[in-house]
Amino acid sequence: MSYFQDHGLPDPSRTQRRRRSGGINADISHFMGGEEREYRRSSSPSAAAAPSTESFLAIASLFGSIRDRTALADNSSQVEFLDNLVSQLLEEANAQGKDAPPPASKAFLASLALTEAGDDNATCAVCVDGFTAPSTKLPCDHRFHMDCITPWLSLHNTCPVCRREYPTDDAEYEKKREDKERERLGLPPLEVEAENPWDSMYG
Amino acid sequence: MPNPICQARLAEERKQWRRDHPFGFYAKPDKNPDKTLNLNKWTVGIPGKDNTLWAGGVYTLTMTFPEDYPQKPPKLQFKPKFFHPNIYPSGTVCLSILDEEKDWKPSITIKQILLGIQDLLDEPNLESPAQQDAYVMLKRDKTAYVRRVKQQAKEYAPTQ
Repeated sequence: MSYFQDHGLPDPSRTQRRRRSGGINADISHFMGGEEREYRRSSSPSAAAAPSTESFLAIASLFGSIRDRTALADNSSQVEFLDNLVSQLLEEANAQGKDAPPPASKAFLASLALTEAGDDNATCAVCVDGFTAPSTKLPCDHRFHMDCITPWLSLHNTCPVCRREYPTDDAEYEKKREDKERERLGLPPLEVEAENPWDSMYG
Repeated sequence: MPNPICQARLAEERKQWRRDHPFGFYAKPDKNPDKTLNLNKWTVGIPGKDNTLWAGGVYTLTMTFPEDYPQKPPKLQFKPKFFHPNIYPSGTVCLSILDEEKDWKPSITIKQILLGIQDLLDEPNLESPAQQDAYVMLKRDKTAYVRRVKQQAKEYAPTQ
């Protein structure tokens, strides 16, 4: 119960917020001439992830229609500005919910050992050059120059060829990966220790 | 300072492209004002596949490699306002293998990228709309979409 509900008063913060958002929606529908509905329908199946992507699309669409208004037709710098704005918003929309693989762990990087010279025809998939410089083999058996693989693993924990994942220092990512692996094996997710500190009271 | 890995890889990509590339494609590094080659910026042409709406056109793009390529992907850009659901209004291509946060990996070659974009032309991905015009038209009015794509193919037909 808020102070206002307690006293039978209308909550000023709530009513104000509602009124303001209504105004913006009305403006958007006016500019988009019903396209907003089209986006809604098309993205309904994956409703959970949809709202933020949708709002980016709606705003992008709004600026897109401003761009196409005839008043701007002969002002190329403004048209270009709006095009870039729309592009950025759409790029944001498409980037929603995507996580790039985190860097490989420091320990894993330190564990990479130099490989003996071997197959002379082999090339490193990063620089596409032969193996005259020092090289190393990842556990997936793909071989790279030390100087080529280290910068990549410092960005992402995957093999540049087969995308096999290697250890990271990112606890949250490791937990997710373990849960996924357990799911694949048909095991229940790992319990977080001492999940409920009151359990023991009823023990 | 030029990054030696980047320059070595680009020189090798160029060598391999000249030795063997798919029919109807071209990819050439631009020239610096002093006539030397600028391996970080290429002009490329991708033909539309036969028996598709895109046939007859050879679509030109610029391909720009950052100094930390191949740790980071190149950027592929059509002319601004190129008509396709997955091309941003700026002309930038929206494709998962070109996205560092998604499917980019250093072993992807120029040939694979250009073939990937050729596939994308006739197989747009409606999960990742990048421009309103083509996306909305394809969903609402397929006939108008077909007409517009064919018109664009004519505009991009190589002059004999």
